[in-house]
Amino acid sequence: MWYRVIEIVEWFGDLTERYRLVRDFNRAAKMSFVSGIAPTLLEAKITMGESAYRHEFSKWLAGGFRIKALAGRPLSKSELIELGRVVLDNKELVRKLVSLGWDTLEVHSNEGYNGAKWALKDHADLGGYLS
Amino acid sequence: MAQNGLLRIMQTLVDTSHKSTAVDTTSSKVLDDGIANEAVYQNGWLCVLIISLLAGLLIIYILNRRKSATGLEALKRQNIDMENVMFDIHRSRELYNELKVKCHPDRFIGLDKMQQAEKIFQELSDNKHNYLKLLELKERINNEL
Repeated sequence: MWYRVIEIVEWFGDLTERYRLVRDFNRAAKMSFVSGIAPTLLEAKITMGESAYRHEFSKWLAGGFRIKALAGRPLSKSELIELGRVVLDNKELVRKLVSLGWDTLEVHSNEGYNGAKWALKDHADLGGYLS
Repeated sequence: MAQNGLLRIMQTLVDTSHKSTAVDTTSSKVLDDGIANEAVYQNGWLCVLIISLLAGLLIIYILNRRKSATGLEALKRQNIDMENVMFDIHRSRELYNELKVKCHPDRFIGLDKMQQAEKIFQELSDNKHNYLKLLELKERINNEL
């Protein structure tokens, strides 16, 4: 019985961690936009994610980490890729995302229908070490 | 649930103390030893129970604190510096473009600093999206090249 209790506690713990990460991201994005560091306002959201990118630790129906850029115009493909690459190059962040149950990174602008998505497990340098 | 249990314990403590005082006041000369002893016995057990409960909670708190301070839990709870991530997203590209011109090896052909420039340029390419690292490299470029 006790392991069930521990599982439930861990589940809630992970949920808190996930929301904390999203909240921290949004807060930092808001502050950088207000202070003039960032020209666009970014917003992180939890989405369903891509089923093809799922891994063993994926959360059910909540495996997508979407970054939405409020740029006021559709972002070009290179801009979307650049934004995604910056996040994917931060190995610590990618590993944290993977361990907290995210499997897909999505980048979208608030206008237009284009977006980009990556499988996080391909960029987490699994089996390697953090430098 | 735990709060209800504690409330009940407190209630019984208050009841027993009332009972013992009532016994003391009504029979001023002859004290009913049996009732008084029972009350003392109950109070003693309740005190032991409360103390052991508090000790248990204290031990759990200390163990959790130690675990979170040193173990993997600490790593898990460690927050990622999102301000740096924002700088990486918005400022790193600009800085990288500025620095790659400054330390491009083609500018140092035939000079002593060629090798150093190549090394720094390589490092620059590896940390294209790391704003803090780029700032460090900027300082190195200013000092060494």
